[in-house]
Amino acid sequence: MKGVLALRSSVDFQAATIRFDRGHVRLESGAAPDAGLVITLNFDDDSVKPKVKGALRHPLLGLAASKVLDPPARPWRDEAAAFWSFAQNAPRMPRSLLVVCTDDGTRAQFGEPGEPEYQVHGTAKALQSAFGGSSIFLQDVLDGKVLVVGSLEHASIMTGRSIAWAMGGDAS
Amino acid sequence: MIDLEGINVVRTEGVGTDGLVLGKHLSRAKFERSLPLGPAVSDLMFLFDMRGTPQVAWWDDWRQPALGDIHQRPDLDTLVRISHRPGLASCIVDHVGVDGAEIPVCPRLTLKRVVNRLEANGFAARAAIEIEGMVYTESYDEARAKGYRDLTPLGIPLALGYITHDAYRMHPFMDEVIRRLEGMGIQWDAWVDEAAPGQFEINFPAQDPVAAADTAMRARSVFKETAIDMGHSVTFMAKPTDTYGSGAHVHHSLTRDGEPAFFDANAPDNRSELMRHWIGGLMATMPAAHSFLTPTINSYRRMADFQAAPVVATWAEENKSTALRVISRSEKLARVEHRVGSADINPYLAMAAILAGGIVGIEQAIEPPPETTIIAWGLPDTYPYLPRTITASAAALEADKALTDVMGAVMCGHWINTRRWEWTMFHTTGGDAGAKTVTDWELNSYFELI
Repeated sequence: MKGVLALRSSVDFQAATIRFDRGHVRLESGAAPDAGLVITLNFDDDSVKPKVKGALRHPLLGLAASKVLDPPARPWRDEAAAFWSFAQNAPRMPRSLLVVCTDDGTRAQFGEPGEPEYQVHGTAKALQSAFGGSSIFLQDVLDGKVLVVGSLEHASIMTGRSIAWAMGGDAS
Repeated sequence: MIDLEGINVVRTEGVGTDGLVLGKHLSRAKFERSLPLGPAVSDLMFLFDMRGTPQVAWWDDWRQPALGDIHQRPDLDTLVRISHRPGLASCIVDHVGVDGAEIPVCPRLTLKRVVNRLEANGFAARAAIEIEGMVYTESYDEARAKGYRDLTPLGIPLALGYITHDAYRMHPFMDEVIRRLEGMGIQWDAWVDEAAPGQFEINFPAQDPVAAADTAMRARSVFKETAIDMGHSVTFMAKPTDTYGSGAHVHHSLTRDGEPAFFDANAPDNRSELMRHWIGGLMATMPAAHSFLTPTINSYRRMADFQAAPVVATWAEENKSTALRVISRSEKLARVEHRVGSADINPYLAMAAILAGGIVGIEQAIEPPPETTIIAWGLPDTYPYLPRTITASAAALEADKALTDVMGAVMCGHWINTRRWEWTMFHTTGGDAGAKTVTDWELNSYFELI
């Protein structure tokens, strides 16, 4: 596949360009003027339908882009496991993370059971978002999307790791 | 301590990470009862960014396990009457824990630690911070209603400085500022209308570094309070408009046993070995210190060629395009003018970073690179340009173990985290990363607070 795709936020100035070139993908800051396909979407509210410009002229790019940008969601348990695998060795992380899905009461325990433990409770959708890198952990806590049991220290470290996770896992 | 006769309110003045002045208004009785530890305040004061968002993304040992108090320990030598508000006195404070232990991220205590290290090397410093800012005829409420754009500068809207009849237009405002400064016992040397429309600069006599930072902090407060009372608005943003930005140059020199230590009449160019090493240290640590000297997203808009701000790590005798302007033509005048700082600095941390760089130089006997006798703007990228973004500066600081050792590892770690936080907030809460000029995000974040 070959083509240039621009993503724009409908609520602020965030924008990025993805260049596909036969197996190579290049990500750039900002919306490039040569983008054949421009998708404008609300990053904060996935219920708002995105606006797509250029899909008729670039149907294959549009189809491929929709697959790349909307990967099948992993179960919250898998998202939490991936996050824990990334974050568990960071200094000051809790020894144990207990995640409780309030939809059905199922639980997942990560790390070594015992104190200090940090608990995160939420719906499957909220847990997917909180651990999947599509939202900032503290914001989800402040918004009441997830409920937590633990210290401010651990909330801070969880948030710092969540920001790093959202940025691809390599941010400090 | 001054006589508190006639005083019924004491205001505490503590400076947080971003340079904002934070404190309480206390009844005189409560203030006296609180001594020596001072009034309690929430440790949240070191938690919030300038938009009121809690910076809950890292942790340091000085923090309370949950949310707790720290204390604002008054420095009673700084207790002054506020002459334009009868009955009010003001006292600068340091931040300590409930057990009296010093909070390692307190900017004023950080500067004190650096000054102590300088003294352990056998030297004392004298310093002064030049204050630049912009004053507009609109009140803060009016400026806010206009989105802080298209404001009316007090004076002639031309990019010219030193125009005395322009200064005359500013004089009712500046006279009141001066009256209030003098009423607080703050000495001043000179003020001018500076090059940008509505821009002023005020200079102060050299003092010990902590007092110099105290003066800068109090002077900025006086400017903003006077603006409020006179229906104007003042900002110390580095670059609130597309005209020249505002800087905060730091003049400083060292003494040994009370005698000037930078001048040596027998040395080439009159520069003592100590001065050479001091310059060498400032140059070696300049990329790292840059984080403290250009602290905000907006600071970097000032860092442009031919905009009066240095952009390359350079030094020279009497060259105002270089980062360090060195003056060594006489023992009386011998000093270094560090020209990198923008007006939005935290005066304590900027001063500390500069002194720490010099200390690194004298402790490691660092010789400076060659002097830059050309104009240090418009140079090719082979020259050592200073970091161009808030995150690049933070990375440079993180990599400089010598500077962070003198400044304090906990302080620097906290600072680096806050700068990365600022970058994250800019990019995720409405900042326009592609903008070539000041953004609404910057104006909304900084105009009134800085």
